[in-house]
Amino acid sequence: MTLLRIASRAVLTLHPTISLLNQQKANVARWVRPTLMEIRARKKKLEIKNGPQKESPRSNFIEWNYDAEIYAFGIRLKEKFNYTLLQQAFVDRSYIVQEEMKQRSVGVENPSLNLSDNSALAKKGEELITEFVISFLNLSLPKFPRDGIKAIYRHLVSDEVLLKVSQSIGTKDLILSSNYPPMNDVYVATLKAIIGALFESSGEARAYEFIRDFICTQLNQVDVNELWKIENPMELLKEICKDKKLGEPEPRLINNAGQNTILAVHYVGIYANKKQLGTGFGENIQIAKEEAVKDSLRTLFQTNNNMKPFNFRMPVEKVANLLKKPALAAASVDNI
Amino acid sequence: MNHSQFLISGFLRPPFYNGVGRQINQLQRLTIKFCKSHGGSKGMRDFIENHLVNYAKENQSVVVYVKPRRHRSPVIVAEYLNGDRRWMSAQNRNHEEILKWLSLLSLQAGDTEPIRYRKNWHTDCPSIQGPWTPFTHKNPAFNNIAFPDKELGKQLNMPETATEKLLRLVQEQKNTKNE
Amino acid sequence: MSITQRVQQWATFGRVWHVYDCSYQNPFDSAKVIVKYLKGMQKPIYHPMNDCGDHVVCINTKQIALPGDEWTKRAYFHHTGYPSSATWTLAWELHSKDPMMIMKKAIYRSLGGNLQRRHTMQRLHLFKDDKVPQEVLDNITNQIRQLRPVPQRLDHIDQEVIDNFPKIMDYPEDYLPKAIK
Repeated sequence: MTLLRIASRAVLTLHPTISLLNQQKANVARWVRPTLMEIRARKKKLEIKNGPQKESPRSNFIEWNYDAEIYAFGIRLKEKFNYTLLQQAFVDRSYIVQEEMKQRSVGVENPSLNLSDNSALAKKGEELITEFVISFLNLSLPKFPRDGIKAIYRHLVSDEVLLKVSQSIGTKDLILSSNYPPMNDVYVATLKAIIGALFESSGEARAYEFIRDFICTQLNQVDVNELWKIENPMELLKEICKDKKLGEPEPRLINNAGQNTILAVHYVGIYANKKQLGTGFGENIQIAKEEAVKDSLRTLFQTNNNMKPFNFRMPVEKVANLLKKPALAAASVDNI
Repeated sequence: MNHSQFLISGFLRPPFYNGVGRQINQLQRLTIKFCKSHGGSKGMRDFIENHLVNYAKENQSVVVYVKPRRHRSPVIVAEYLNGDRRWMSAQNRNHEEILKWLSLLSLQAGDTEPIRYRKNWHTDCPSIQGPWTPFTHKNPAFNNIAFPDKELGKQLNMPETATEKLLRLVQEQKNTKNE
Repeated sequence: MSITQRVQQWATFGRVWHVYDCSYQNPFDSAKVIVKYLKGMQKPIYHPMNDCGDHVVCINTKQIALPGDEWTKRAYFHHTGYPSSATWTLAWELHSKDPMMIMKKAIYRSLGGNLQRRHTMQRLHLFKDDKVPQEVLDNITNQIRQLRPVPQRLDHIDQEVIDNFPKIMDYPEDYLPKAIK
């Protein structure tokens, strides 16, 4: 299989040189097409026989230096890691089990690897992520309700987002796990463990900066209102208006266009005490009303489409100070 | 139309919002393969002697592997964080040329096809004042009008007619008399 | 795409219905204005490849005013395709046959030639008088201003206004106007 891959690559790489030689007419040599076809056919045949070709781990290559890779990883993220801790962050439990099984199979009675897995670091990392993200969101969205903050937090620490982050900082080849490519949860745990390792090696502030720069930035250009599905927006609006003494909110049709056609547009505004809270469009009045309520809520929460973007360069001390106030921190973290 | 003659157009999409939080160098690994005796690798050997250590020092986030192979042409393989792998022949290239290629490779974000940027910036929230709708700046008084309306349909900015001028002059005369 | 974004798009591309009163208007000048609305050229989002045209309801097309001697000199050509079946109909004749046809042809002509023309014409609604069905009237939310003033007829002016109109002198009661030869 590998041979086949090399062969096809050789053909592919040769082929532009051929066309370059005859620049006058971009002819491709007669043998290229049948050769490629043959390679393709054989590849397909093998795939039918053995299933799709497995990706071979980068660490199996001759040109592979794990220490150098780990060192470069730290430099790439512009962080100073304790080497042992960082290495530990990449070790998944499944790898240790696999290695022990290997040693047993060759007759070692008490296999020992001198390796510990990343679960402890991952736990620490998860704690750091939770407290930082919650405080960051509380600071960035001061008017947003607690349920909403929770929803955004849940989105940020969801496996999909953390998986993306983990993959894009280049953990794939460094993770020591029984599978290659690693399973999704291993990616996520590794990212958390890296944050834990950073906390242990460089302190809290650096860990917080890491979370701010890599996890909080996933909110860039995301509509936070979409992350929180409100079940009954009108009820919520009524409650808020009651609390703030704005008066009873009522919907009014402000405008419409082509109301007897299938392309009708309705424009509804929500008013309380003759003051406009928000407006919304819709193809019928019901949808326009719902949108207007949502818009009023957005205005009240200060999360409109034209809101000030998140400050991803917010000094971490500001967030850390918030966490130091025990009542606030407990209230924000315990609720999750 | 021959599509291969034109650059595919697209928008700027940095990987993983690179630079929003902090800038990560997207090149993670570089493998340099060369032959110790062949002439085609002369430039590559010069490069390794003169520039490689410097390059590696300046780009510590890139792991550089040097792999001598007998009687094979020199090759540069760049591996990026997004999983892309770019293979490049360095046959008969001199060391300065190789350095230039390497600096290009280390600035790129992957083995990307060159695209024509439709705009040099990209945002998912393009408007601050909100998109235009037919209701923007519309007079709310129109809601209480039954169309067609005589006054609303009247032409604007017409010059004064002779009748209007006559009436105006008479009115002015009357006003001066009263004073 | 979220619901908010979808309805935003829906509203931006919403089709507005305009009404235009054709009484005493030059159809050829009016057509130039109406065409802008039919194509959506008055909108900031206009682009030739953008389907953002509005509807226009033209009323009182029977009352149009042609300039100069156009009623008797302007001829509308038609050919059924059969030999010797070319016809030239004068404007007054066409108008008496179909009071909406002159307005329609004026707008069709000023739309310019492209494949969108017939689709754009579907958004034009012509009425010979001001009797417009209620379901059409309900759609209308804007009015296009006329291009020229509608002349006022003497018998439509109040008697009081006529009596109070400033006069330099009154004709003597026994005044006889000069006989018309």
